[in-house]
Amino acid sequence: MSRQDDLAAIDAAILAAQLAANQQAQGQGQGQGQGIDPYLALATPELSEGQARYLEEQRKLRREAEAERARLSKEQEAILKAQEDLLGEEEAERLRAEQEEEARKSAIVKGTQSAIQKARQVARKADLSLGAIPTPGSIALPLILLIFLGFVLLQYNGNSKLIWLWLVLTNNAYVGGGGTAPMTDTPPATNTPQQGPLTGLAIVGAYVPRSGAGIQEAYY
Amino acid sequence: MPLIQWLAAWILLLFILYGLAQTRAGHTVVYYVLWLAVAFLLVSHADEIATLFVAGGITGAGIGQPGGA
Repeated sequence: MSRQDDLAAIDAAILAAQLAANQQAQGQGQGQGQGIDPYLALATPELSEGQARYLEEQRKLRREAEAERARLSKEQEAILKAQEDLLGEEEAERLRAEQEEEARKSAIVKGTQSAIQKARQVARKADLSLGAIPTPGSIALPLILLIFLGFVLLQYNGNSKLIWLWLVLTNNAYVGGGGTAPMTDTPPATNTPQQGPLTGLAIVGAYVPRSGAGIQEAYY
Repeated sequence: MPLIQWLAAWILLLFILYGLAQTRAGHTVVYYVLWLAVAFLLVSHADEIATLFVAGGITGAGIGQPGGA
């Protein structure tokens, strides 16, 4: 059974139900004055001659509409064919080339999209698998250990980094080798500059350049 | 390297690590990279760390010395 027939059957059932309901309502309205359940009437679809005619007309109209649509598509096809005949080979070639170019472009776009999608899938899988690895404790544990080791326990150029930080903050050392020394107090007149025995650098006040890079002591 | 570049490099590194640690996979990566850094530091400074465990090692590290902690 086609869809049209299904629809027609539904139409018929609804009409019959409505008719039966109306008839029953009229009959009972004269007698008792109560309403009728249309769903009960729906269970007994009996078509009168007029209804059958009406349904037949509806079916006919539907068939005609579909035939019209089919005719239109045939006409369109005919127009297209005529267009191709009129355009000639050259235009047909041009159109074909355009279509091929479009197809190629769409293939490139599709390829790019699929590559992006695959990359996303790989990244998602990697994210999930890496995220599934347990991290006992928390990230703070290695961080604190690293800071303690690097800043407190280990020495760099004679002192730990924490001590160097203190020396810098209290202006007893400065950061950056090879540059100029920080401003120091003017040395007393009695403290005459001396020549360094090895480096040849002058000792200005109490400032002794020790190395070429890193944190240097400002005061010896 | 000038001080400002050194500082900027560290700040950038910290920002990257922080950003990574906010993601699911990045958290794991940062966690194990930090442990790896701890391991490298321990190995590369093993002799210095070992001196801390012998007599006078703590004093030798500068703690309790003038200018030390």
